Amino acid sequence: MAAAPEELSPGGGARSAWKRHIIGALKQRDRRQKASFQDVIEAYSRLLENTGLLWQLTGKIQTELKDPHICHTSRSPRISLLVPSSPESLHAMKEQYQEQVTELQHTGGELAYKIIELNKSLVAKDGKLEEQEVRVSDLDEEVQHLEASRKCLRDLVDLQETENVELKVEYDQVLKWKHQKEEKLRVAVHKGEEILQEMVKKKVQEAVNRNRKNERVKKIRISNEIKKATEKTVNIDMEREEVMTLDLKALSLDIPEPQDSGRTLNRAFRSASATMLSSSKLVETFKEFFDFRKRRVNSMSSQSENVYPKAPLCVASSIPSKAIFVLEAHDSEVNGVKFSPSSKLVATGGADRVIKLWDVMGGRLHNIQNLEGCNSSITSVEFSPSGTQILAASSDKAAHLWSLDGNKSKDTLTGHSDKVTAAKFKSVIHQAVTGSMDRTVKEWDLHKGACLRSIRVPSFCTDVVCSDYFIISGHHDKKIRFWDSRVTRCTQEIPVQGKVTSLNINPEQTQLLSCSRDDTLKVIELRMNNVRQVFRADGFKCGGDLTRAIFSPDGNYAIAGSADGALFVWNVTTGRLERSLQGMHSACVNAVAWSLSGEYVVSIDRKRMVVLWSSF
Amino acid sequence: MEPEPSRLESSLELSLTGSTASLLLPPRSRIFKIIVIGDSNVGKTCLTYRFSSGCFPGHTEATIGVDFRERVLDIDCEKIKIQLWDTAGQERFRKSMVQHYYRNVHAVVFVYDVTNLASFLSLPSWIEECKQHSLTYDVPRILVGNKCDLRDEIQVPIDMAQKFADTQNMPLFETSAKNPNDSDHVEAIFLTLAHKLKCHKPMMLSQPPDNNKVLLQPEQRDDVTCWC
Repeated sequence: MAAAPEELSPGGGARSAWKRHIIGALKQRDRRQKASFQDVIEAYSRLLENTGLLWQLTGKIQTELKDPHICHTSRSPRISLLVPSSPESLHAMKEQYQEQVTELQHTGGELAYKIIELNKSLVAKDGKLEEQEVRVSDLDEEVQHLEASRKCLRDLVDLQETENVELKVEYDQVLKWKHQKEEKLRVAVHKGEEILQEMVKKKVQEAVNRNRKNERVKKIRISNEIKKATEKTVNIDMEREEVMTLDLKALSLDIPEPQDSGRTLNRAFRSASATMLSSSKLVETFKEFFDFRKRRVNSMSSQSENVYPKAPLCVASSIPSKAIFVLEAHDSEVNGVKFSPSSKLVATGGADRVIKLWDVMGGRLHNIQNLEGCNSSITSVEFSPSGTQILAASSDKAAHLWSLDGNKSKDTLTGHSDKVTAAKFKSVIHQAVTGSMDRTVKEWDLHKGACLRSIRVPSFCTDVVCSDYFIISGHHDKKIRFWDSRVTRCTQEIPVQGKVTSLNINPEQTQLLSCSRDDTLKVIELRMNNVRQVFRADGFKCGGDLTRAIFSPDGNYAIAGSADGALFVWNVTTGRLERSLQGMHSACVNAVAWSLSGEYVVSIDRKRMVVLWSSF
Repeated sequence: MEPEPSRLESSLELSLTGSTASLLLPPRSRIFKIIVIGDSNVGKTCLTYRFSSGCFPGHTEATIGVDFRERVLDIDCEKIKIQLWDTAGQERFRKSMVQHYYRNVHAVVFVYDVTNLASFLSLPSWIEECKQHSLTYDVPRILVGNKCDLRDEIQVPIDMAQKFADTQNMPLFETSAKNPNDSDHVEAIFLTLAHKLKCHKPMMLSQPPDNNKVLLQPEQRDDVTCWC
């Protein structure tokens, strides 16, 4: 407004005086008007500025409301600028700011607390860090040490390995050497074995040759002897008889030596001697020589009465094949059974203390007679060789003798102190032998009824048989003992494998059959005193302590009863089981008897049964 | 391991001389086969050698199979040849030969070592083997205890041995093959045995007389010689 006239050109002075005056007057009016409005203009401008500022403030406050975290601190310097302009808002602002200040102080306090804490933790962490560092340094040291020692050990290991390698080389060499030596040893052992085998073979051959040579020499000798013997003449002359028999016997001494060929030779020789001299005279002369004791006997009218006449020999016995008669014979178990020498009568005796006599007629058994008088059970029954007397051994410690001819007398032989298990007639008349559990074997004179001799034996006697020269007894202690007729001494003991339950002698008196509890029967050759045969059979069991087994009357077979009731028949020469008869007995067979004619066999068992067998 | 060839030769030699000797002998003279049985190393070879040749063998080895030693004796003017079978004691050396030992043997001599109890305790098994070969009852058997010169080492007292011998019914002799003057003379033992064999007499009293022989001379049975 008032600025323009100054710039007009200064040259117009006189004309411009009034212009300058007008301009000056205008300027003064300008200044005067401006001065009155100057305050208002200044206040107006100030207001404009304030409103501008307030506008900005409100804008900022709005943004702060949306986002209170931003520019919190930056507000404070701006806020201090605005404090002097407007009081109401200033107050509010002041309050606000004071709130903010207290807030900030709070947070400052918190932060300061936090700072302290953080400082503490920082210190602690620093401490830990130091510790860790110390530890780390220690471990580092250790690691170094260990590394050093590891190195040392590794060196050692290497050293050992080299040594090992050397040793292994040595070992391999030694091993190889050992293998070689072992191989050599094996070869040498093998060779040694071979040589040994060869040597043994040679030795065997040599032994065989020697044995053969010995046999040859013996055969030559024996054939020479035989030639000599056959060339000798024998006189059948009464005076020279004894001498001749002696000579014959002297020559026959050497004969039994060869086991294989000798037996037939023996038989031939015997029959030759038997035919050359009459048999009864021979028997008599032998008896005269060997039986010294007979001379002491008072009653001796003639020589021929001293022995029983020889029983008829059985020509051939037939093995029974079937039972033809069965009978319940007694009231209790039957222990002994025998045929009479005439084959007509059978005597059975048992635990019912009676001996029953049966007649065998038409294939049946008829009870003829009963013999009583025993006080206890009967263990064995025996006929005299003449058939007129029966001798029974009994458990009442005595043996009983019945006479079957006219006078029907009865004798009792007492003297034993325990049960008598067997009683047999001797081949000399009027004499008998008994065996008992009191460990004695007694010889009796039947005329007087007195004991002639008592032999002490070491064990229970279960059976007794007599041959011409011996008494043979079987015992509990598994032995068979031979007693010589003249001397009270056991001349021979044959052991067997089980308790001896029975003995039986064959009619020719050459063999002895023994039955023992080990379920075997043994045939013993009496001259050689050796066991010739052993009989066994499947199913044959010796059932009791007094089970009796016998020879057949011709001596070819042996028969025995078994515990299950079967009868077994063996062939003596071959040793085979010929037959077994079963089905008739239901209990243990105690004894068997075979008739002298060879036809019948009677067996008895524990269940009181008597069975008659025949082969027809 | 190989046996000395000299040992083999010596036994063959002896057997050869024996056989030639037997050829020279009249054929009627009897040969008695006596076998000597016992454990290994009891002295069977030394005993038989001592009897057959009169001296003690300095160096012996385990007998393989059997060795034969023979000697001819003159008993009652009869020439008797004693054929001693010195058998092997070790099982492996004798296993195929046992039946040949016992065939037709006339007498058996059981030998044990008095300084070795085990050899005495195995006698029952030898006797059992003998029994299994079914010798007849008149084959005399005798029991001999060897090495009795080693007095400090005796393990088998004489009473034990005598008791055993009695149960077996055999006469007992203690002797030494090395020092024959110790106890019973080896020579005497075999001579007695030979004598008994010749006369067919029993070795022990309780053995049976042969039924068909001795009965003819009853007075001889009273002549009992004491065996102790």
